[in-house]
Amino acid sequence: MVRLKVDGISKSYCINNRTVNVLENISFSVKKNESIVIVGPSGCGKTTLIRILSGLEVPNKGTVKINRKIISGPSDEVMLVFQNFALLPWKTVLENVEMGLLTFEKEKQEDIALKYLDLVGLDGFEGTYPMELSDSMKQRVGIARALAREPSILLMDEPFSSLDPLSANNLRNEVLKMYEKTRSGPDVLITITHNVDEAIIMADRILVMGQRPSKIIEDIKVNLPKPRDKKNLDFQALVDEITSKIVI
Amino acid sequence: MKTGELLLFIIIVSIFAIFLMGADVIEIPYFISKSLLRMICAYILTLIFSISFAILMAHNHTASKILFPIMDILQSIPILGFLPFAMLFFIHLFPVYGTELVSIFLLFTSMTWSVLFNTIEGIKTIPNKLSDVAKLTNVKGLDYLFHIVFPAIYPPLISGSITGWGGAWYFLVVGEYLIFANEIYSLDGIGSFISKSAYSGNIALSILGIGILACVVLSINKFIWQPLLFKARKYSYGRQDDLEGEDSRVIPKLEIFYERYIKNFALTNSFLRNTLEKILKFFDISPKTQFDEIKKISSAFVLQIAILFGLIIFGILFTTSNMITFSSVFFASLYTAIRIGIAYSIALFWTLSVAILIAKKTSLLKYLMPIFDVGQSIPAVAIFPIIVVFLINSLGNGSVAIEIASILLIMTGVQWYLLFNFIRAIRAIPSEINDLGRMISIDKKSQIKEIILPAITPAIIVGSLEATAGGLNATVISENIVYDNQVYSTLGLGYLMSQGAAVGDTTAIIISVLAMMIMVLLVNRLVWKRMLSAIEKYKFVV
Repeated sequence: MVRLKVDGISKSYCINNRTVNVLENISFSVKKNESIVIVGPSGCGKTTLIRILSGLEVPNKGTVKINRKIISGPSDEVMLVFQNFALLPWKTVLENVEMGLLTFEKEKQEDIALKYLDLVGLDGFEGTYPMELSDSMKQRVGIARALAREPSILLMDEPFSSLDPLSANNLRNEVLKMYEKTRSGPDVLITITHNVDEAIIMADRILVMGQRPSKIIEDIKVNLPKPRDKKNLDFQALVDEITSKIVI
Repeated sequence: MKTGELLLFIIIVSIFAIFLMGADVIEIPYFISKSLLRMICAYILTLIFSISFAILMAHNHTASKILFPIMDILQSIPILGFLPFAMLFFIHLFPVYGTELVSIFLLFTSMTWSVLFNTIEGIKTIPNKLSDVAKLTNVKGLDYLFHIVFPAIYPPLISGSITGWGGAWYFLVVGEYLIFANEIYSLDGIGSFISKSAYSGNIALSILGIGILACVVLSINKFIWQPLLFKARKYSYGRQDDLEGEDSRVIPKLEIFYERYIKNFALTNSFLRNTLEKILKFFDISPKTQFDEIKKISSAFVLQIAILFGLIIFGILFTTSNMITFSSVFFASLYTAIRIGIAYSIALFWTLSVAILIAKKTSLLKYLMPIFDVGQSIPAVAIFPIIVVFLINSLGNGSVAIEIASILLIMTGVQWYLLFNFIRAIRAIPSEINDLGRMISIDKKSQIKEIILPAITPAIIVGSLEATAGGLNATVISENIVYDNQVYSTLGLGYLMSQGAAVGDTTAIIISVLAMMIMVLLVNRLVWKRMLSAIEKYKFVV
């Protein structure tokens, strides 16, 4: 069943009276229970693409369909995890997660928020303020806030790139576990990264983007058994293959 | 509408006015250049004073311990409070150039504080890594100053200078036309042109003067400050979002001048270099990784207030002044406080509304900013006589009119601090936060309550701190307005001070200045500083 269908989208910006084509004719579709990772060199328009998928930006050409409906803006079906967490410094951890649930009744907000804080391992940190947390805990809050909205599609914009490698590794594994285990959770995961290892660990399919104006230059199915092992020779071969395709 | 187009419009109007009014305005270019010269003199003094003291206070522990309390107190004196003493001092000492010196001194005091404190903050933003590199590579003395300190203080110096110049225009109108001890001290300049026209009741001329002054202010902003701010990006260690501006052709020339005649000269002229190195060594100025926390004199606070009160009581007991009694000082303080309170509330209300509007629709800023720039650049002091007369004519009641006019004038000294702080805070909201708001389809009410208001909370407090002090300054003029050779006044501290200055009553001046200092100290310490310490968590960290 096709959850998300991207159909011929192009996007250009006007910077200093110069038109910059960022994305050119991008099409792909994502099925239910698929984890997609988009990789590409920096500045290739990955973030623009995910912003279009989230409904924050509108493409100049082409359409994005979610469950066969063309989207025109952010919807309840989709939620985004931000690179720099986007937490409000004046709100506690609990209040930050509740921010995602403003339309709910107050008591319900708290129940749901607590449930997801528990899920991301922040049980007991409800009353803490973001500035007292480590970066990886901040991102846990960001993930809890996204999951609490129970979107069917979860987008992540370089979710681990602000963390140190050890915590990134940890959190990545936990997110994958959550994604695979939770029934009520999102059934499509789209992640952006420039880390090829990360892409292979997380993806069922990897889309490789080229230089600007970007197209999808490669659509690779990853058939390695899960959980994936970096020491596996096939894993290494795949790393080499993808790295060689990312033209810098 | 861009600033440039607005400028053009004002120029055209002024030329038109010159044709209409003829001879009176022929001298205006001469006035402008004299006023500008005064501003530049004051600014050079400001730079020398602020930069050397900032470097000293940031690097030398003993100096910072002694100087900080002194600067803190001096800063809390309303700028016009220095004026009478400056008049006594300079005019008696230099009968010929006295007035000139007084006006430069007034401009200097209005520019210097924001430059000084900004510069100190700038030195503290030098990353530890860089000081470590300096130590490891044995960069010290003048080399350290020119290669590390000066570049680091460039961005905060520029933004402090913009604030300082902005304030100084306000005092230009006052400082070029002084009334002291029943005598008028007038200088040639655009400020005195405006004051003279207003005092003598020539509305058209004073409005023309204000228009031209606004035009000068905007041109300097556009051709000097904005490009400098743009250049400052290069030297900024911190976030760069609030450093706006555009490039121009003037600045590279200024840079070449600096490189060739200041930097090279200081570094290569052996006599100058040796002297400066000796001074730096004496004050122990060298790369530093740990800067002293700015110690706010908390225990001394009660003492300060007690001393000031003591002086006031002493002054009242032994006064020969016929303006000063216990009740007059008490009620003057009370009325002034009430007036500032009302003006502050109104200003807070409208600036907050505008800020929320801008936060919701950032594209509005493009259209509103030039209007705010013009609004801020017009020294409101000058239009006030006109408003008073208008109010008296339409209300038919002198005392109500002067109250309303006084509050309006205080507002002009209050509102821009609030507004510009708010706008800066809104610009500093990370774009991710706005994206978040859209992703969770936040409604307008929650957006204001959950995001915008908390995000500008620190700006409200910092702005209020600056605004209340600015408001006090404005009372000196607003409680004693002269128009068409007639004085419209109402009881208040500002009235006591300007009246004291007008008749040369030193006791009245000293006591009103002391009372103002007490007010500033009390409000800052008991209200704003307390709130400031509670808002750490409202700041976005990246």
